[in-house]
Amino acid sequence: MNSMSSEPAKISVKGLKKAFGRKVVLDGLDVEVTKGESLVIIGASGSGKSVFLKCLLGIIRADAGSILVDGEGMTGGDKATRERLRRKMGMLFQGGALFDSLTVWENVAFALNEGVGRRRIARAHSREIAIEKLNAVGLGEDIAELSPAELSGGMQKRVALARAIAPTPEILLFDEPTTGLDPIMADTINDLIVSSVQTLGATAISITHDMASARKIATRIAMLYQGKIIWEGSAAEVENSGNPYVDQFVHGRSEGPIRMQVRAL
Amino acid sequence: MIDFLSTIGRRVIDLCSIAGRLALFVASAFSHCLRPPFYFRNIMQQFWTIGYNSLPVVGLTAVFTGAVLALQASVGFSKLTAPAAIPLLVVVSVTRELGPVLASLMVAGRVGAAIAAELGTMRVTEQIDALDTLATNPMKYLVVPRVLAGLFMMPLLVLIADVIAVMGGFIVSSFILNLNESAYLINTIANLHAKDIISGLVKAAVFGLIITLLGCFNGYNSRGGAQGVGMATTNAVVYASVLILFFDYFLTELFLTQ
Repeated sequence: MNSMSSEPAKISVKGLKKAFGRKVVLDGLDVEVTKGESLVIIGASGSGKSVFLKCLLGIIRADAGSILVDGEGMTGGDKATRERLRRKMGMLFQGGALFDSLTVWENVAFALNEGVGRRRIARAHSREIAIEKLNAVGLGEDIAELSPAELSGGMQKRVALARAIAPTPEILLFDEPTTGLDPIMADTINDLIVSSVQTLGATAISITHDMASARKIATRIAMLYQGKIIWEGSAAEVENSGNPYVDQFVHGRSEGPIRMQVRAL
Repeated sequence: MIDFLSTIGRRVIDLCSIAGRLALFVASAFSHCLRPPFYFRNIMQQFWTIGYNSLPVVGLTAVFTGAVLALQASVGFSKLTAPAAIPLLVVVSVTRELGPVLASLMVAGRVGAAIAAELGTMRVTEQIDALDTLATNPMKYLVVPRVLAGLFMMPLLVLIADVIAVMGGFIVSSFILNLNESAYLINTIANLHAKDIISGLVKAAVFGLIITLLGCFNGYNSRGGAQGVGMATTNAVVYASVLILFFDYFLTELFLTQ
C-alpha cells in the first residue's frame, strides 16, 4: 500500500475533522500521498469528498487535525505559508469554474497575468503560453478569443484543465473530472489527466464516483465513507478488496452496508 | 408560547449573526482596499460599469424629480413669490436630500442587484474558489474594485444629478409655468450653498459604500444554486435601500447640528 515509506510524503493528512453545525462531514481522515503518485478517492455523493479537497486547498478551515504539504503545515500555519503552499497546487473544478467575464486564453493565462507572487509577464507572452497549454489539452488557437459560455461542457473541462496546469503546479487536484460528460469525452479527459500529471511529474489527488475514471487515472485508490478512509489499495486490488463497502460501491449495488446520505451537506 | 419565544429567539440570533458577519466582511473589505496588490484594470472597469453606465437612469430620475418639484411648488405659491420660491425649493431639496437619496435608490436597484447576482453566480459555480486556487485573493480581485467604484462614482453621479434636477425645474418653471428664466437662474445661484452640496456628496459616498458592500456581501455569501442567487439579489437591494434611508436620517441630523 504505502511502499515508498523511505521518501517523505508529499501530502500528509492526519485526523482531519470538519463539521457543519451538528453535521459531521470529516471524522478523523488520515491519508498520505507520496510524490508522483496519483491517488483517487472514491465515495458516494455526500461522503465529504469535496470538503476534503477544499480543506487541502485551505478554502475551508478544518476543525481539527493536520495537513502537511512537503512537511509544512497547511493547517495552523500562518497565512503566508498557506498561500505559498497553495501556489504549489492546481485544481480542476467539477463544473470547470471558468471565469465567464474573460476569454478562453485569459482564463488559461490567469495565474500568469494576475496571480500574486508570480513574476508578471507581458500579455503577448502569456498569450503564447496559454495557446501552448491549450494545445497540450488538444485545443487549437481558434478558440482562444471565445468566451467560455460559447464552449460545450467537455471543451470547458479541457480549458479548465489547461488553466490548472498552466502555472506548472506540483500538486494537481481533480474534483469529479468526468461528471456530466459523455463516455467518450470522459475518457478523453481521463487520458489528458494521466498525460498532464506525467508531463508535469505532479502528484495528483482526484475525487470521483466514476469507477471507470478511477481505474484509469489511479495508481492508488482510497475509499471515503462517513468521513473516514475505510480502505486503500492499488487500482488492481479494488476489484477484489474483500471489503463489503468497497465491493458495494465498485459494483454499484443498491443493497449492501452503505446507507445513502439523504440530506445534502 | 414556547414556540413563539423560540422563534423570536432564533430570529434575533440569526440577525446578530448576519450583523456580525457583515461587520467582519466590511472590515476585511476596507483593509484590502488599503493593501496592495491592486487590480487597476478591474477598478477602472467597475468605475465604468457602476459610474458611467448608471448615468441614464440617474439622469432620468433627476430630470423628473426637479420637474415635479417645480410643478408641485407652483401650486402653493402666489404669482408674486413663485419666481423666487420655486428655484429655492428645487435647489435646496435636491442638493440636500432628493439628489443623493433618489439617485442612490435607483443605483441600488441597478448596481446592487447586478453585483449580488454576478458574485452569487461566481460563488455557486465555484469561480470564487477558483480565484483562490489561482493565487488571487477574491476580496481584492472582486470586492475592492466594486467598493471603490461605489465610493468614488456615487458622489460624481449625484453631482450630475443635482445639475440635471435644477435644469428639470428650470424647464417646467420657464416653459410650462411661464415664469421668468433669468429670475430662476439668479435665485438658484443665490440659494446654492457649499454646505448643502457637500452634505449631499458625503451622503452619496456613504450610500455608494452601502450599495456596493451589501451587493458584494450578499453575493459573496450566497448558497444553494439559482434560488440562493435570487435571494442574494433581493436581499442586496432591500437591505441597501432600507440602510440608505436609515443612514440618510442620521447623516441629516449630523449635518443640521453642525
